[in-house]
Amino acid sequence: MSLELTRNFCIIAHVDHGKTTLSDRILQATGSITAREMTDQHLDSMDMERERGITIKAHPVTMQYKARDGKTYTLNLIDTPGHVDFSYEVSRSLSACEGALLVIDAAQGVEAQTVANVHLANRQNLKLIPVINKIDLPNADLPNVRRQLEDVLTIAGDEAIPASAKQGIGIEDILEAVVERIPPPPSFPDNKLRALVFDSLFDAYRGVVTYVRVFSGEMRSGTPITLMHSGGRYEVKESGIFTPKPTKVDALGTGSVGYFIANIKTAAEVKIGETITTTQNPATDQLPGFKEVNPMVFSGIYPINTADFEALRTAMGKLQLNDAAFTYTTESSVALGFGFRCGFLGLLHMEIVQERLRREYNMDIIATYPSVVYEVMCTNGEKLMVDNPVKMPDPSQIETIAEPMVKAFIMVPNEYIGDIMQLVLEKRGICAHTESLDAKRVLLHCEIPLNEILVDFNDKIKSITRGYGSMDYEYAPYRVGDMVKLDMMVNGETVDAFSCIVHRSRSEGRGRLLAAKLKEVIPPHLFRIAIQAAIGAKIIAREDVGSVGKNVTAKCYGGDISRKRKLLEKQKEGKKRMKNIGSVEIPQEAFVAVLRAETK
Amino acid sequence: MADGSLPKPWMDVNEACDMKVTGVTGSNKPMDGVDPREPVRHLYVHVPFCAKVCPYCAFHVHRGGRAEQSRFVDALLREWEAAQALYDCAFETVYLGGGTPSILGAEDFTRMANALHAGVATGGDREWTPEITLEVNPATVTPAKAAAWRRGGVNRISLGAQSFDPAWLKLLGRQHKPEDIVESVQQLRAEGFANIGIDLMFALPSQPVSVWRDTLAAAVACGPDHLSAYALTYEEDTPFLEKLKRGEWTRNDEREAEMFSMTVDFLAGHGLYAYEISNFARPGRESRHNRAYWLGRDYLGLGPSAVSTLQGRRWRNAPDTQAYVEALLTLPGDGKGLAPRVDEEVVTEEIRQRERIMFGLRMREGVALEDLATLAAFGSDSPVAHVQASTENIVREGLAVREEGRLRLTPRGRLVADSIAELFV
Repeated sequence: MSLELTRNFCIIAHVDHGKTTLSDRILQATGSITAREMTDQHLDSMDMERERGITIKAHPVTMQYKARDGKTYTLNLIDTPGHVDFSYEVSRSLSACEGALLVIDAAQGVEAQTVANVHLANRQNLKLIPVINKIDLPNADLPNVRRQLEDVLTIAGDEAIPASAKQGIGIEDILEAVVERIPPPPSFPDNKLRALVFDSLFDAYRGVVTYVRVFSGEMRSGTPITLMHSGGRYEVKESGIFTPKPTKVDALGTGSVGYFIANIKTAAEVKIGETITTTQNPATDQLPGFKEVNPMVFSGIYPINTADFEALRTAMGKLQLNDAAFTYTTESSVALGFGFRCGFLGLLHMEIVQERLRREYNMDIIATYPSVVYEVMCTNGEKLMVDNPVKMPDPSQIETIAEPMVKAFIMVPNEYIGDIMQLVLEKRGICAHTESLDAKRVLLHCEIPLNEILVDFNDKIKSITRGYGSMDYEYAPYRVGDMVKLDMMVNGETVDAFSCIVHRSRSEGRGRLLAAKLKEVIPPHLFRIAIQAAIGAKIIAREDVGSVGKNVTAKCYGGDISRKRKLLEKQKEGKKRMKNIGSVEIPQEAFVAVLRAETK
Repeated sequence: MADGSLPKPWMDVNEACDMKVTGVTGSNKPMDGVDPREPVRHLYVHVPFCAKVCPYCAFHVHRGGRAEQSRFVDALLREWEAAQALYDCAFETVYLGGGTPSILGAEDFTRMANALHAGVATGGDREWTPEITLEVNPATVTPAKAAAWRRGGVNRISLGAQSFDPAWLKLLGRQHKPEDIVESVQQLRAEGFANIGIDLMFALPSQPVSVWRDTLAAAVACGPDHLSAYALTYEEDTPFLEKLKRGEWTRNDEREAEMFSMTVDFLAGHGLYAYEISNFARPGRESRHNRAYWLGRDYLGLGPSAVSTLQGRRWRNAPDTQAYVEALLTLPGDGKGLAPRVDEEVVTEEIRQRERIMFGLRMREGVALEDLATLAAFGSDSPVAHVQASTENIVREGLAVREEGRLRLTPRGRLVADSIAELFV
């Protein structure tokens, strides 16, 4: 296969700008699939990806395209995840390409995610081909989008190709641009095997199917290989390309994109960004950009029914086979019993994992309030990374606590700027600068603590701007903040499931909120129950649950004995599933209610 | 029968009278570990007749004239005859309740009383006499009847006064007037009844505390030996509960609690001490019969709807007077003297122990800590640690005290006796 006739590219776009439709159209135009085979959104195979309109797993496709110059080119389209949680995976997918189609909605124009994507692509030195999609829409505004390209993204507006993936307009122009503008894959003089892992998939029958881009050399069945970062050694059992169906080939040559199967059992063994080389006569240098991915967000996941603990462990194990970024370790909570501390790349990743546990594994689970990872400098000079409020050292041993920040891009219609800036301030963020996109919209560059955007930030942007605003972000360095650990106490006993780390300015509000919620769900006891929110020994909020109503009882004679006993036994039965916090019995459903209400 | 168990004629009885009978094993065989030779010491007799059904009452009642009452007594005596053949009876207490047992004519009453007398413990070196209580409706007292009661061995009267306020008596559907109560007490005293109790109800719909205080004062003025004060219970299938459900009436826990606390103090000031949550007496005049229930002793119940707890079993006669009379008087084989039963259950020692604690906590003397520990040892529902923690909690909260190896509720604890009992059952 000639490198000159190979092009590797991907498509990047803001959500809903038409990336998937365009992918399907390209598959169709190159004869990779027929119109009949084409279900909508061919590449997104997980149900959840379709529902959310996002791609979680990247799927490469190899196509043949006969260009206007008469030559037939091999085009490898690598689909990329569309969310910041997976930005490392995105960066590896991007680095497997030489160019990218940047899809922009002709009516919506440049959005927050467009900006974030272009930042990522530029870092990989990709050749960008702007595609202005949906030009068939009545409110399409090409000149405006071209101007935004120049002003916001510093991309020449006249490079943009007008298209409508839906109507099939401009598809050939796009393919021609791929051939003309994107450079062919580079070559390495030593021609030793260097293959970049950009994703993997767990198959119950065949083990891990690893997706690779071969930068030099070739990957042939039967070849012993070494993972240059982990040192793991395997033997290639099968290699192939996606057309889009997996198709076996004898070898993946330089510049090609495909998959291989070796005796790899879990996704964790073959990390994204790994360089694969031959065990004999190996390359000496790895491909750039490998990084250990660490979870950014942690949450406890507990089975609602404690008997489901082992089943949950099994389900998590299965999930992890396919999702190396998801981590879990056992933990136990006074309130919730035995469960797992789980690490996620971000909030979306967390939601996806929780949703898959519920849907695919039928697990009835409860998740605790998500926490980011704090960097704690102790007075003894030790540095701790704390992902669980329970593990936060005593305040007296803490010098400083630093929290992870994000650099956020918020696209907002002019009339809502004030409200959004207010929101950013409320979330302890700062607006570094603003840029006018056009007469109607502004791009805000903000820096915001990650934990402030975990729960409802995006929803708030959407609701303030009536759906017209958009937000994307990338991770930024840690910053020291006035963070405190907030504990909830029931009659003096700390309820671990509700502990959280919050900014001091937020502590009182959150303490009050949790106290009020707990008051709602804890049934009256024989005594008053104090619910307190505390920072260290200092009580910052308090609610009381009153004691049970008087039950001045009536006569109890021979005929009433059984009835009375059964009544009490029934009442008692109703309280069976309660958790004891000291002398207070709290229904487990109450924890669920409070935690659910919080994470909604 | 081949397996040596007793025959089961009651099955025929039940089928014949087309009763819906639940869970009947119908056995009179003692449960394992029960000494069948232990005599039955307590008897309850249910006389179901009422001239008028009160709208708060959920007891089994039956409207019937003289002829029906006579047939009922015939049937009751048949049941009693059969019971005597099955059990060694040495009644230390007999309670004639209802319904309105005082509605019976002197002749029927005398027949009944004379027959039952065969089961009453007698002789020996006992320093006490058996307690024979009759529930009396103030509207039914006549000198002739009172004399018949006295001759029939009744030595304790429980007078269903309910209230001394005409308006509240009317609301309760009672046929008597306040002055009838006073007059009844006088007549009964004149007849020689030395132990008279008055039953009252409080926490009536919208009843002011002051009205209740006046009723208490009027009751005390009658010089009773015993006083029962019940908070009105809204029973299933009563017009009262309907009104509550429709929102015509509302309950007020706080006011009920205030009435209750006031009652305890008021009666104590008049020499009637609270020996159980709803029961007050001059020392020595406590109801021995009711104490037997609360202490978890065996008792025999005769008459429709009467409950028996005997030798490890508990059952209830079907609450149907007509079926009861028919089963006992008109069935082939001249009946076996068994009434149709419902709600039959085995009362294990564990259940018995739970009940002793539930009801024991309602009594002044409380329960032995040892008994709590025994209960805890029975099973996982109330493990020892839980019982200990619960005990600590209520003591710490001032709802109970631990004294001389017993756990006793404080006045505050008595206000939430059910919730406390729930901790242990």
